[in-house]
Amino acid sequence: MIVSKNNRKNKKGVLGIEMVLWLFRFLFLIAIFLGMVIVVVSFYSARIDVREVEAVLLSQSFLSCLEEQHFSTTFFTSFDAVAKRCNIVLEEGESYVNLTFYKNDEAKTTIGLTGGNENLAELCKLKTGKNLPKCLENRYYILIKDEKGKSSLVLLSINIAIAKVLKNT
Amino acid sequence: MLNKRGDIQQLFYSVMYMILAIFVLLILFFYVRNAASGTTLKQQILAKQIALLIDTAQPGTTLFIYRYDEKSKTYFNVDIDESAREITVSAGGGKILGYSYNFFSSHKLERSYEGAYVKIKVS
Repeated sequence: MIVSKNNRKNKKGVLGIEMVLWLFRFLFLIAIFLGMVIVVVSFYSARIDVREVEAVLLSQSFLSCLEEQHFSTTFFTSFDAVAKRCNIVLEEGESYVNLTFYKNDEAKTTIGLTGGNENLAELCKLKTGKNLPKCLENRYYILIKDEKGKSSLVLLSINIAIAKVLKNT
Repeated sequence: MLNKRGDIQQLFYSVMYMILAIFVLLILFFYVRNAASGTTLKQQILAKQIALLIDTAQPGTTLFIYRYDEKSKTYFNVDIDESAREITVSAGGGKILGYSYNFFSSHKLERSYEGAYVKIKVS
């Protein structure tokens, strides 16, 4: 009876040690796998940064779209209305756009429309640092027709910031 | 009897471990082969180029993009998720092994394959 109890205890002990050994073998395999992946990624991977091109394209899209539109109060009520009309959908949290119109009328009307992640605009003010967004600021003089068909010269300022840091750096 | 049962269990664990090790090594082999042949990089380039082309395209434009990789002799799959405004390029394996990039244009897109070309109709 006593002998069999000791045997049982020993078996449990052996099983425990074996389990620990297998655990270490599995961890060893995972470590090799991860090590190889890290080496390959650091050696072969390259990120192509297209954010500057993207910002220019976004700016051009807004510009060409706004030139075609009538300068009506209903159109310029919100950024979302303008973006929808221009067939533009900003990626959530990754982009910021500010459109400011300076009308050359007697009242010197200014209309500012902002969309996207406004924190990116603050990051654009930083000159050095890691993981900063790509920023673009352009100013154009554009001719916009009002509802009566009368053309007027408007100064349009387009500020764009694109983050997409993980995909581009 | 007890020893034999223990041995069988030990053998079972060893075989399982061997199978797992081979499986992991195979994944590693294909991953390294893909990375070394530049397929991963080509997927990234193609996805970004197509996303930028879509952003530039006006309604009525049809884009034809060459999707055959001469080096690895594979056709890249191009998938467009219109609701997420995302393009995924993969050499098989779908979204998990492919590369995805977002575009901002909300025009309607139709994707089809014509031989070694992917045809994207913007409307």
